[in-house]
Amino acid sequence: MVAVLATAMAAWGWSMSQDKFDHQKHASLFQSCDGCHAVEPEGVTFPQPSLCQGCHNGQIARLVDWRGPSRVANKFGFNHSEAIAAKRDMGEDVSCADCHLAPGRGAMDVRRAPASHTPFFADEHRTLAAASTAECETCHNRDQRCLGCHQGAENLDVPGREQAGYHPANFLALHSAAAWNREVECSSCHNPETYCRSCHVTAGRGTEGRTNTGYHNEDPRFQFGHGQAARQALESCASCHAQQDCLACHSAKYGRMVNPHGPDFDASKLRDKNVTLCRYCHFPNDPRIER
Amino acid sequence: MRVSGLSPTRGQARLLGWRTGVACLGLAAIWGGWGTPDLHGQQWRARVATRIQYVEARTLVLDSVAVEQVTGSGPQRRYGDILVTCTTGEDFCYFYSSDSDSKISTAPAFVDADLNVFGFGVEGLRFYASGRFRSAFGSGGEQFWPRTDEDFELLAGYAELNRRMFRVRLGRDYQVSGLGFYGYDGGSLLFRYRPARLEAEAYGGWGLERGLPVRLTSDALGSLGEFQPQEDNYLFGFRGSFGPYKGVSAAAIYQREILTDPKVISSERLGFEASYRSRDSRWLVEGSADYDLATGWWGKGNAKLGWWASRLFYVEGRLFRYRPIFSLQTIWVAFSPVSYWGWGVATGLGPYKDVQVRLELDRRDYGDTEADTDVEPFFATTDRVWRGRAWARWQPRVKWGLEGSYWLEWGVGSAVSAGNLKFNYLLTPDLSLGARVGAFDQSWEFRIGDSMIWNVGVDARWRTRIATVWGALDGYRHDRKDDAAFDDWTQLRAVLGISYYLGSEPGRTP
Repeated sequence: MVAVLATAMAAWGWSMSQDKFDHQKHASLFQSCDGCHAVEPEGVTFPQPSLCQGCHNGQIARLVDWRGPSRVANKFGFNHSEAIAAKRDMGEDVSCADCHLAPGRGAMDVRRAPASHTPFFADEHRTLAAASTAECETCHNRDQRCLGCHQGAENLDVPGREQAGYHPANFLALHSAAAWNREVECSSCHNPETYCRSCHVTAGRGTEGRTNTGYHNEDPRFQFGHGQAARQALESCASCHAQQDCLACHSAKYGRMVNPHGPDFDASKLRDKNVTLCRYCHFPNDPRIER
Repeated sequence: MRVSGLSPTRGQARLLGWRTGVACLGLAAIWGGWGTPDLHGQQWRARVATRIQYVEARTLVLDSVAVEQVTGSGPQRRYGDILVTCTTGEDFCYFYSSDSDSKISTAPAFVDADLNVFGFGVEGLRFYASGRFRSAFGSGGEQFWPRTDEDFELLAGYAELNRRMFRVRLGRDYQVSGLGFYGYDGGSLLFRYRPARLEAEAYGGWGLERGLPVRLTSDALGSLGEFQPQEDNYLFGFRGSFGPYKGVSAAAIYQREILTDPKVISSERLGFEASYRSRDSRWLVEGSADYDLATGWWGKGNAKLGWWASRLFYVEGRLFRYRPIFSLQTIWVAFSPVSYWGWGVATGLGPYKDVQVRLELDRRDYGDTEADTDVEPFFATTDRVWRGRAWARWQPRVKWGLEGSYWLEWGVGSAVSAGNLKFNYLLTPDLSLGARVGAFDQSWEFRIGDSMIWNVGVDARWRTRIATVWGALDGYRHDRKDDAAFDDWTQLRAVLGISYYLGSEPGRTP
């Protein structure tokens, strides 16, 4: 049943993409985009099939059965009107050639947005963007596109995704689950110390030196059993707790002197790279950090 | 008896006049934008975006009750339906709560301004600057919303000479790569060979804090206390990318942050990325990984295979892992964070004429933390997370449509069950309206108690010839379901913004 459904869907999906017009074949006939296309609020307009019949009448050229892109695909696809307006809002002039023509190529060497640019591409663009930066820049302005999201945008709770924000609406209320399991790396855009912690402390979720909080799961034993949780999501701990909070118990200089080092900890490697780090918790003459 | 609350408002120490000045700057810029005609042929282009938000919150504060008023025994007892913590011999038991007394509000305001200046008679010469002004109003003031006590910051600002074969930049710039987003005050030199889509870049300078355009010794990081670096980092790196065939791209980056003594390293990292997209764009294969040379740990890893029949119908599968990488300027690296491995699948469907659907499922498994969990009072949590999501859009008309989503997650850390429904209506080609309802239940370990939060909101966007104005209003109601710390989310939120641009590029129509 599933296989039949999948096959049917695949066939349907395939058929939806069979309405492409071969621009390069017709390069000598049409010299500009606006001879056939215009951008309207409902999307890009396409010529009537009757235009084809001017040549494809069975005498000058063979008959064709071109009906143009389907209406459904146009509604769900990339909205040109919205995108052009958005680019203009961002200070960019835009023409068809900016996105659809490769530099130095003919006017009919039309490119289209990759199929990977689904409505969820913002969540998934990392590898492609890093590996093909130059390719992205043929359509996207690096300074405005990247900074808009990546440079610590303060408007976390953006109402409506289309408002140029990265996160969906209500994300501030919902972000703890996403942050805990690092659906994306929060620190790519937000500095945990100044961004996450300041809010958490102000709202009473983070500590200001107290170790007697009943927050977490209201279990007073949490402090004794937090090791597993901390190693699973240390970034979440750091979004509320300052480093000195942890050293109250985990320093080798004072307090309970609980050893925090766990799996894969290579003391000699870290000591060689930055011995200052070791000295936060160990005395300088501690034989464990002496070379 | 309330025994603790908010610390004294730091914002009170700041001058109201300065905040007003920042706000006036934004308003003046808005006024200038409305009143300025198109400036054809100018050798500059600017974009200004101003937004003001309104946020309420009821903060979580420590409260107490006389021990005679509680029931039960041991460290956890009950005061009515509230769980309280008691210590033998003390007269009071304690609990966390938020109520109307702890309500604070703030209205953070931001003005982002980008400026491009070019056309100096030297081919490829350009100056670029991007800055952000901030302020905040309301009882929460500058204390509540992150960084509103820092009035201005320069996000980027550089001089650029860009030619066909090379590009030079000097000033404040940033690198976006698989390692993340790193800023620096310095310069970069990039060579490119277009036929093979080959790029090689060297960059370096004084490093900025990750995710923050300030130096490490800045006052903005003063809350680090004794852990704030006493000197700035030097950051340098090399990046190369290569696209020998259409659809094939690969990139690698090496980056090192050091102190004045070059033997003392803050971070040293390698990143790799590669992708293949078939000529018909139906197949996509991509992979990435980063390695931390300082600790010898692999960080993020991702491998994805996708097949698209169209943008409506596609299937994706991926394997991934994650381990946080910390700077050696912090102690966190000594706490041995463990990685998780995961897999996920996603599919896009178009089952009916006007319907688009996306379904996602993934699972994460954390590695062994080697933490003591089998001896009292230690306890074990779980090490597995499941996450499922469904999203659908129904668009019977171009003018209006419905969009809904549901997110279910359960496992270690927190669990969530959340649904949203949104209605969009295009009143005119330039004016769009939206209304939405949502609800979510977020529960379990380490987080706010089991409770349901309801949300109703409206938004609008109006686009004029030179500007876009948008606004939204959201109301939240919090229904508590159990006796965990009561972090009341009942509140109002709003945002109003405007963005516009000035200037134009010669030879193009604005």
